[in-house]
Amino acid sequence: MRDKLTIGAFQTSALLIILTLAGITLFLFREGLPALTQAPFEGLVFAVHPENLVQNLSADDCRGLFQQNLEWSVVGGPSVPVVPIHLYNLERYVGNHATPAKIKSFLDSVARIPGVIVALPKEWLPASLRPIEVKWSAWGSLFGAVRWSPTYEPLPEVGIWPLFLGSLWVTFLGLLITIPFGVIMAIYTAEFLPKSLYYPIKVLWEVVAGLPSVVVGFWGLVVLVPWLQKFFHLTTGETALAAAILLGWITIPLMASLTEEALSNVPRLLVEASYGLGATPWQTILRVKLPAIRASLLTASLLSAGRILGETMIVLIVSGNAPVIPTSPLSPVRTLPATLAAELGEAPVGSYHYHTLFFLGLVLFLLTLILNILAYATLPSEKST
Amino acid sequence: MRYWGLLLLLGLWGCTPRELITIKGSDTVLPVSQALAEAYLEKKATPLISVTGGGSGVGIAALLNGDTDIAMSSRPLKLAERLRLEAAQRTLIEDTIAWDVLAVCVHPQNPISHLSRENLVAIYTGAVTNWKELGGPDMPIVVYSRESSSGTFEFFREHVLRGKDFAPSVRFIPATGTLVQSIAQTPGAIGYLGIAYLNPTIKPLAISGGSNTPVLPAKNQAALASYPLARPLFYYYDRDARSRLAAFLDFIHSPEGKAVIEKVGYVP
Repeated sequence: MRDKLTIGAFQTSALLIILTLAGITLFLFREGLPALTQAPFEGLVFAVHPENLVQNLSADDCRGLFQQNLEWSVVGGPSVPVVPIHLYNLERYVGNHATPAKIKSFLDSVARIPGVIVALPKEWLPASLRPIEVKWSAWGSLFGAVRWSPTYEPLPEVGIWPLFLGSLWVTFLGLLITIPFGVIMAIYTAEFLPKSLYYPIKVLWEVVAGLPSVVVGFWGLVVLVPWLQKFFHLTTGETALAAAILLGWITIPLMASLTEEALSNVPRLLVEASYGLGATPWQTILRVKLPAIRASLLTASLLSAGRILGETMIVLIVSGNAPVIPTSPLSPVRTLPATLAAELGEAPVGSYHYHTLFFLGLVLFLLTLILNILAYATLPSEKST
Repeated sequence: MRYWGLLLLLGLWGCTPRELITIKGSDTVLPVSQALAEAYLEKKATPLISVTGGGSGVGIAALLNGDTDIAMSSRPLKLAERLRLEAAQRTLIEDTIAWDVLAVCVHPQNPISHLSRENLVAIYTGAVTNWKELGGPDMPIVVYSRESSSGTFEFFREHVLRGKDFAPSVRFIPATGTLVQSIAQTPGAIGYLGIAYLNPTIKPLAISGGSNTPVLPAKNQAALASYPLARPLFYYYDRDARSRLAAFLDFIHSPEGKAVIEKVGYVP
């Protein structure tokens, strides 16, 4: 009876956990996928002066007009100055507390300017203006652009490449630190550490792994960043390298304990055979043990990569956060999780910005999923050892 | 054993929270709200006041979702936000609690002492990338901005860039404290922040708007008129919640409250 109850309790909690995870995943998809179908200016109509012959505009050209970086003549319009009016710059002209009547009369007066282009809700559109089509390609905007400026109105830029490559770049650089140091730590603790020191050292690792990342990040900003700046003669030390060093450092305990576990599973037979042939302990480690745990090392590296990829706070503080495609370890980077952390709080629920951020979350989720599947696929089976 | 449940209930009743006001939003308004809450609680025990930052956008979003009583904001509600409120038939009260002066700061060793608004636009849109182009030393400009969730960012984009977009090389910093640290340790840095955060590790610049003479940011009424980057700080709350918040709001506008605001570094 008691056994049955216990088993039932375990089954129920396992089921609950699985259901919660499935729920979270579904939510991520539900909120992220609209970024592929929705346009950021839903509910807005673009319109121009009736004598302007432009029929339709690409999103990029239209953005150029609104930023006044582009002349009408370039896109086949009249040779007059561009006058962009949209919901968000209206308050510059009519004030923040304008009544609907005042807004209406202002819009009617701008409708007479030959170079005007407006982006307004349908009900506010002055009747004399001629609506035009702005072509927004969801895939093109996400994957075909290299600028991330998601709050620019009325046409945000949401190219995910800088963030995606930023994440991969930091993860790659971090692994360059985690893997060698993790393996060295593992060999040292497993093979050379006196038994009396073993547990104190283990506890120390756990403490390092458990440090709040905001503490590590701020330490990095105050100590590591100025140091990098001096050492490399940089204009600022807030770089991918700073983030990678810190992330690599906090991931060493994970890499080391996974490696150590694998080392302890190397069959005694192999080790004793090696000693029997007259090999030194060092030779045994390099030539016998490490080759024997190759597959486990790959698994450990992939799991470490997953840990680095998902870390948020440290990169937010020390990486500079500029959304540019990284070209060297000394470039600033903005990663996927840092972007989510910085922007999700202010994105109105259901807006295009909100869906785009969840889409980033989805990309991050898929990346992590792939890493974990690879990690389990490379896990050595019982037979191979 | 069967009385445990009863005991538990009694215990819960015993620690029913005292009345609580939550204030959320702008990091710029955060220090003044904290100081006001502390000063208020020294006098009266209730209601408790909980203050959290995150940025103006975060506070306003929380107020719209009903997650906070007061949203603190360093920018007025956007027209679009007002229209959304109107559609939801809610009336918010806008309470100007203080004035802030935005300081544009550089590293203390940077010889540049003043810039025009046009210079700032050129720097933040990436048209100018070296201090030497502005009469300074040959040193790349490291441009810092607050994250897009902050009202300071919105104010700067609207009043300095006037709708132009930030260059992609601009570094976005999630909190003002971190921004001060970054400017202080980066010789080529430039960044903007509320004057209350100024300290001797960074150097404020005199700013000229149009053809005026450059003016240094200062914490007084005169600065509000002559300095181009002064802005009001707001509390927003639901009209229906006013009676519950009245004691605290009255305290803010009392001479005592004004003294606290002045001490934090804003103009009441």
